[in-house]
Amino acid sequence: MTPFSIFRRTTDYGGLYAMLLVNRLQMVYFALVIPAYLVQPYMIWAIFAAGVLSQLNLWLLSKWFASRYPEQGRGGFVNLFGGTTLRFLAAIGLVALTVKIIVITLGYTDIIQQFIFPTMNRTWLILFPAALACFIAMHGMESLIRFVVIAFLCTFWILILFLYFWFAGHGSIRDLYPILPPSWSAGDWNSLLLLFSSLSGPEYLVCLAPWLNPRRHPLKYMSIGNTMTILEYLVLFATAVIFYGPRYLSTIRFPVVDMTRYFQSPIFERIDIFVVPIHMIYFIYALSLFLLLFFGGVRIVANRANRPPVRTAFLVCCAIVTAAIACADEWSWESKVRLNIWQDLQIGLGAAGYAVVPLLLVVAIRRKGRA
Amino acid sequence: MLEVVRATKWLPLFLFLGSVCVAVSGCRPLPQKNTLEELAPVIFWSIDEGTGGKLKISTMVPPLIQEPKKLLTLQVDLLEQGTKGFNLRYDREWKLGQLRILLISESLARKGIGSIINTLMTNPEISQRLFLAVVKGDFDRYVGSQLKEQSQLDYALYRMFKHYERKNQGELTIVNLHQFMKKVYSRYSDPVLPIFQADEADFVYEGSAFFKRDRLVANTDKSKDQMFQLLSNRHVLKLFPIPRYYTTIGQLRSKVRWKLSRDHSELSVTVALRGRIQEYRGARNLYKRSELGALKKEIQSWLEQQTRALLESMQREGVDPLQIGDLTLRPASKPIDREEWLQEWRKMRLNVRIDLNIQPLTKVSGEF
Repeated sequence: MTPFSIFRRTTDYGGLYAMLLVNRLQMVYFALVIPAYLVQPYMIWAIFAAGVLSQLNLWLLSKWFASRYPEQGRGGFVNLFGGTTLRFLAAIGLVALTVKIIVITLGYTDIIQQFIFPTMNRTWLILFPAALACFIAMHGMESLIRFVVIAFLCTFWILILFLYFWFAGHGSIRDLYPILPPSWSAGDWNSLLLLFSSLSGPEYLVCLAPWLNPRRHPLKYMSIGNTMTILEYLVLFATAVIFYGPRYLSTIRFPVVDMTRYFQSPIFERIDIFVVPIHMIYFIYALSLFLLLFFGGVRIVANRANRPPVRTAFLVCCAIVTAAIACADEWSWESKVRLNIWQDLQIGLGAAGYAVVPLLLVVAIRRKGRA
Repeated sequence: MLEVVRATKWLPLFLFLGSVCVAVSGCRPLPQKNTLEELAPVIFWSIDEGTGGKLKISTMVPPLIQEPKKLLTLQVDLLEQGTKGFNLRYDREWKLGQLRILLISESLARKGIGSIINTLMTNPEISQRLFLAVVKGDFDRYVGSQLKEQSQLDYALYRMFKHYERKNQGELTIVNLHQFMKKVYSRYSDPVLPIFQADEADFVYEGSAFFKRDRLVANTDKSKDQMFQLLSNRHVLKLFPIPRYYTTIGQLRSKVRWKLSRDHSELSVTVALRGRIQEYRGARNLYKRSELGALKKEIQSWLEQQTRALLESMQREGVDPLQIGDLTLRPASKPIDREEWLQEWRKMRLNVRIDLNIQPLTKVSGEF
């Protein structure tokens, strides 16, 4: 009988892993729908602005990574905040994490239902990814961190497909006019918030700190990851604007997936059915990572972090998360407001979390250093 | 505890077996099942106005199997009611995944086809590359009379559209679902569709039909359509017969330069045409430079007149299929709205210039 050791740590993982993690965590779900919310060509600058803000956060985060606390794992946090405060913070984090899991899972469920299995029972569509993510998460944190390389290589190339639209004569440079905003409304501020929120995700690296060790150049690698994300957002958004034009784009629910419907292959008809599961790879990856983090968070809140992890407890955690997703789907997703409550909640929580976590850590380090 | 450990060790196997069980048993999550012999993936739909505000939908079945073909027609209120109706009438199940061509009758197009196109657009099964065309006359009668002579009629039609779509062959206007929708939703411009004339014996390309949003308002004749091909984004014609001057110009390429004045009151268009005289049956001696020059001048002014007439007809109807409105867009200023643009477009002064550069395929000299 092998001992259950999902949180075992045998070696350090360097900057490359941090870079890929930053990139893939920022691409989950919102990247696929965001062009339909940005719509106006001048929002390209909003992508840049959100990227700069995100970079600022990564800079703060790197300050924390460079300190001596991250390698101590939970002990580092206890040193910084004290045990009770840490449990309180972890509880807040768990809520944010649960909302994030619910929104991305149900978002992808919607995509699968719209494009691949329109008549399939939604519970199956939630159960299958959850079981798969649970299975992957059981391999432990180390395997999962290594797995990000595969997740990245499997999915990054999709972006190249979209370059086709730039050369297929679908639009002209005038589709991108007005490129400078003639006016700036409240809706545009909302889009900026949405963008910043969808760039959130790297703050969860804080929980992976004992394994990741980008101590030599933490900022460099994370910046490369962030820059790659910004480029991907830019390509996706600019392509969508050129392909659809602003007014048409605002009527489309999943623009990035819908664009793949235009591809034609002599072998099979529905390219989108092939591309959607590929997008799912990093969704499943993120989901399994979040499941592990959820388990870790629950252990801290329940004050069990010092004991070895128990497999049954992990499975129960997965079951609870799956049940939460299913309940959210059953009771509040399909209602009239559809998506909005959860999505708005996630936009707020994601943005707040991404802004607060690095700041909080840096402030805590400063206070500790002074004391 | 031990139990759970064993269970998780075999989890991948259980997951796999579970999926297999789910897949093969009656308890499957997917209520759809496709068996090849039971399907009818149709290639085209033709939609006409029926009696009493209904839609008359027809298609040809079976699509690809070697069986005698027949034309099915239904009168329905809703488009998808047709899908259901055909299923009830025909032994195979109707599938839209291979739908390639949608033919819309002229009378229906004049009333607006937005709702029909939207239905097709949002259906994930239907390709965005579905070809659209407007048909004058009775297409069903054409199909009925051709069924015996040409059994692969539907497929042949699809190949024709495909041929002219690819590599800008530049003889016909070819538009697919996505391009149509993009224009419908665009800021200023309006969509174009090819228009065909169908009767018992023939199915002939007539020209381009101009839409105002989703409603057909005008169409070009065959002669003006050639100018439209040169002005719109294809910019190429293999043959341009001009019977009036006994000439056929071949391999014609155009380069169009639009210029809109700052106050949007005047539009200048310069079309540089380059081609060769492929046929001449008139009385001039084209070996002589002066005579060739005279012919060139005549054709040039005729082309200018044609272009002007084409643009003026667009102004009259208040449509903008050439995306001229996009010229008003500036990088940093707020775009004007559509109504304002239409007002300006109707009143705009036109300034058309053609630079014709045609060569005969013979040697030309000063004296002959």
